[in-house]
Amino acid sequence: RDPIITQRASKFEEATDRYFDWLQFISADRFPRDFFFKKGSTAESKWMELEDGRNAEWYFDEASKPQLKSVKKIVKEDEDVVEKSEAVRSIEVSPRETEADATGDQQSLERKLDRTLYLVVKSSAGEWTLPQGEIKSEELLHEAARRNLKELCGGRMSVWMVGNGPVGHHQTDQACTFFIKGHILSGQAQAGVELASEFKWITREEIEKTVSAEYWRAVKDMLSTI
Amino acid sequence: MLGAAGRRIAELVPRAIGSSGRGFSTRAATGYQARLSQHYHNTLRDDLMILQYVPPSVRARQEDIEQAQLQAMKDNAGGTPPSAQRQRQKMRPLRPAQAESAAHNTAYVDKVTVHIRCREALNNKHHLLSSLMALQVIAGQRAEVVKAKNDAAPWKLRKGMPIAAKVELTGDRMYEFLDKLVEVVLPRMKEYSGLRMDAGDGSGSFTLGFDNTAIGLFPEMEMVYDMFPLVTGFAVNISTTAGRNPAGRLLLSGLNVPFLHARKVKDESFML
Repeated sequence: RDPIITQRASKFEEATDRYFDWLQFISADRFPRDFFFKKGSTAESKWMELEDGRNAEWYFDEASKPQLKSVKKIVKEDEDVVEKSEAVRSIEVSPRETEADATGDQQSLERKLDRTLYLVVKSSAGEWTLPQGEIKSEELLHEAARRNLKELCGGRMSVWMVGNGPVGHHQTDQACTFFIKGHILSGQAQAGVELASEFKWITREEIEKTVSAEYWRAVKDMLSTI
Repeated sequence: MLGAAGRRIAELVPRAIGSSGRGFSTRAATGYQARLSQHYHNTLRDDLMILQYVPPSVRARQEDIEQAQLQAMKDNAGGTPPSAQRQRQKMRPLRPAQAESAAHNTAYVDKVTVHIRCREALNNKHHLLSSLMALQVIAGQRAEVVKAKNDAAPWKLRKGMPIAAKVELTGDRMYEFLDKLVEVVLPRMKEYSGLRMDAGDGSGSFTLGFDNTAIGLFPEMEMVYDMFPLVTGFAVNISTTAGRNPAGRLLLSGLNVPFLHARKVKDESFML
C-alpha cells in the first residue's frame, strides 16, 4: 500500500524552508494592487485586510499581530448563526495520525499514512513471509503471483501488478521464490480457514523485526524506505 | 524595447508571486515538497523502472537480431550506391542507445514551459501585458517577454518585436502547475479526451495546446477573470528526460495525464 499523505519535513528542513520563504517575502516586489482592484473599492479593502493577516505570520512579536475583523464573525440573524466571512473559508484538516495509529492495529490499511506498507502473512509453519505460493506447470509467473495472493488473502482486494517480471528472488535449498511488485488499489486482505491464518500490513522497519534474518537479507533491497 | 511604458509595466509585474506573504500564494498548503514530486520520487519512479526493465538475456537476443539484420543489409547490398544527399543523411548522428533501465536513468519531468503567442501584440505591444499577467496568475512566477527572432512579412513581423510571453517552471512550482493542470483544468475542459497515442517529438518533449476557453478554468483565475481585457490560448510544453516517445508517454501516464483511445481497463479486472 503506497503512502496516502505527503511526507513531513524534518525540523531542520522546515526551518530552512521558512527562512527562504521569509527572504522571498521581504525581497519580493509589491503586488500590483492597482491592476487587480479599483482604488477605494470594498474588494480592495477586503484584500488589504487579508494581506495584513497573511503578512502577520512573519511578525516576531505576537502582541503586534493585527486582529482580523472579517474572520470568524458570528452574525446572529433570527437565530441563524453565520460563521466566518465568505472571503476566508478555513479548510478542516484531518489529523495525520489515525485511530489505527493510536491502537497500533497492524491489520489496518489506515495506519502510518505517510509510509509504504507491505502485506506479510503467517504460513502454516508459523513463519511470517510476504505472500507466496507454488507455480503450476502451465502458468506464467505473474499469473501464479495473482493466484497465490488470492488463495492466501481472499478475493476482496483490488490489486495492480507492476509489469510481468520479478523484482527480486530468494534462493533456498528447497525452492527459488520470485517476487512481483503489486499495489493494492482497494479492498482488504482476509484471514481464515482456507486462507493464511494471519496477515499484517507493516512498514520496512517492522518487517525486519518480524521475518527471519535470512529472509530479511533476501527481501530488504526490494522494500521502500519511505 | 518597451521603454518608459515598459518600466512602469515592470513595476506592476512583481518578480516573485508565490511566497506566502505576497500576491497569490501557491505555497500555503504545501510547505514541503510538492505532492506530485513526492509521488514521483516515492512510488512512480520505481514502477517506471520496473515496467521498462529488459532482462540481460532478452537484451542480448534483441541485439543479436539487430546485428543479423544489419549484416543481411550489408550482404544483400546491390544496385547503385546511394546518392550524395542520401549518404549525408545516413551519416546523421545516431540517437544514443537506450541504457539499461535503472533508478538513476528513469525519465523524469525536467521543465514545463507555458507559452502564449499573442497575435494582437503585432498591432499594439500593450496587449502583451494581459498575457504576461495571465501567465503569472496561473504559474505563480514572473513571466518573460519573448521577442521575434526573424522577420515575417505576411504578418508584418519585424525582428526584435515583443510577440509572446512565456514562463519556465522547474522544481516544486512545475509539479504544482502540472498537478493543477491534470487534476483541475483538463477535467473541466469540454471535449478533451487526452493526448494522442503517438504524442511526443521523439526526444522527450510533449506539447499540449489550449484555446482561450481553457485559461479561465485555472482556480487562480476564478476571481480575477474579468480583469483581463484579452483572453488568449496557451501552450504547455512538458520537457522530460526520456529519450524515446514511449518512455515519455509512460511517465506522463503515471502523472495522470489522460490519453486518447487509451485501453479501457474496467475496475473489476483489478479484483483478485
